[in-house]
Amino acid sequence: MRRNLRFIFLLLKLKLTHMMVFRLSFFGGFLADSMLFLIQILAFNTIYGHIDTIGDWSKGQMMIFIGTFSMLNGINMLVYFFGVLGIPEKIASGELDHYITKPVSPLLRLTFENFDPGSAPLLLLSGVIIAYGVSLEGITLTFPLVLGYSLLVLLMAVLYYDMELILRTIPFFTVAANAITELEGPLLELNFKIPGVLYKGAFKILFYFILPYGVMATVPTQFITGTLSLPGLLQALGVVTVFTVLALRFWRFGLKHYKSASS
Amino acid sequence: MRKYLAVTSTLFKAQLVYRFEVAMTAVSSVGTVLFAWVLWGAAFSERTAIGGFTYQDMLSYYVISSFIVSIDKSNNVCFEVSKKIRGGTFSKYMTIPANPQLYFLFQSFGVSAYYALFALLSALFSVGAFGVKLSFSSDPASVLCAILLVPLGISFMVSLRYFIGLLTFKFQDIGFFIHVQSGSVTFITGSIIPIVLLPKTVQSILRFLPFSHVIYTPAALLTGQTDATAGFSGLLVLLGWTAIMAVMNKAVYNRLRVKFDGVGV
Repeated sequence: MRRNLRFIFLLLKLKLTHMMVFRLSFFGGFLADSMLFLIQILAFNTIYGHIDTIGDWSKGQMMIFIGTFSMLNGINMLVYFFGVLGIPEKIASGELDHYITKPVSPLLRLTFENFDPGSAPLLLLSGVIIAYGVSLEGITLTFPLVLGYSLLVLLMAVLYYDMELILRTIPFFTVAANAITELEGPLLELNFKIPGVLYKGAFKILFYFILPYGVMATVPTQFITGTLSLPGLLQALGVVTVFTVLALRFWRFGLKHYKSASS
Repeated sequence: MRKYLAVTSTLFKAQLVYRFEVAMTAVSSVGTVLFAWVLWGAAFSERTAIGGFTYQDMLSYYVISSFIVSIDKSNNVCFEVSKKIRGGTFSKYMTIPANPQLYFLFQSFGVSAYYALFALLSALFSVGAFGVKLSFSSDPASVLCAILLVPLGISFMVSLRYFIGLLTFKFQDIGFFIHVQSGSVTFITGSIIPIVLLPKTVQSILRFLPFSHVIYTPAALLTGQTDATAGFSGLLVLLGWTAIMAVMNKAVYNRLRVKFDGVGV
């Protein structure tokens, strides 16, 4: 464990040194994503100017939902997105050879080698959006509430990682898997805008159990606003557990099928 | 003119290579209607009208606006111009006997024409899949205005994105400009929510800016949410802004091209 942490710290140091060369692009990810979420806030503010609730959700709940998704996206961009993003290309080009021949877990290195510190301000912005939602809802923050919410956000960040990893493990078995990974964009975009509680029927099953983007920001929001039931919490924990086991097993299964550049 | 039409025709055919990109645009278009179906479905569950729209009017608006969004591929222009300036291959446009701005404009028309075929299919799919009873204007003047506004809107967007691309001559990294314009333009064109839902003051300001006439005005004209008068004023505003952008782009290009350090220059 200590060895892995030292390795992660070293990767972060290397990445920062590399990023200093391209200073203008440093905040690129932050700019792109903060615009996306600010526009979403504007859109929902406009909608709530005409109505009081969407489904059962008030404006405050929606703001917390947007802030939570922004937070998840910030963690994703800061920690693992740019690392996981490069997996299909490394598989296709045989560059993965460099990773599996080193005395460290290839997945650990791939996950943490592309930290993006430029996305860190996105976490701050997300915090402000969440605080705005909390004040609109009139929620009194207590230590257990904040702790529970934070733990759920971290769990959902794991689920976000699992989904990205599963989709990017498919290229082990196919020549090109662009179609599958590119589909992720519209699916995420849709779920950035729609709280999972609004889905009904087949869409609920799809976005809660098959492609669980619908639970990611919804469950922490329900927790902090006191609308999450115990079965809902257990269901969410079950989804995270199943998808984490699935992602890791699928990765190992994929590695066994890896046709390296030299074979 | 013939040479520019040849560019349009070539780019139309070239899109056959990018089948996956076309498919993704179609999926994204259906996704927009799905978003409207779920979100507005929940919003309308306790009321019959919001901002003058019924649920079916709202779905019709999203079907038509997502069709227009799907065929506007002008965003690629900033990336292409920027990439070519940074890579040194923009010299091609300096040496061929064609105006670079018009070249990119007609190139975009070719791309849009190809995407229009698939955007139409995804619009029809959305109508069937989400049970949209498409509201359509019966006023020929409104329909004519909308038909004219769409290509004019694309022309304006191309000239705006061409301008942003040209900034690469001056700044090495134009990521900041691309991100800022991309997010804000999406909102003020009315592709996320209809402009009529915004506060009146904002609407009054937007009326004199070109953006809302690119997506909102033609979609509202076709769904019968606004009348031909708004269409005519939209046409005038867009014509004016497109002319301003054309003149500005020419001036910026002539001023900044001397900074170019490209292949063969």
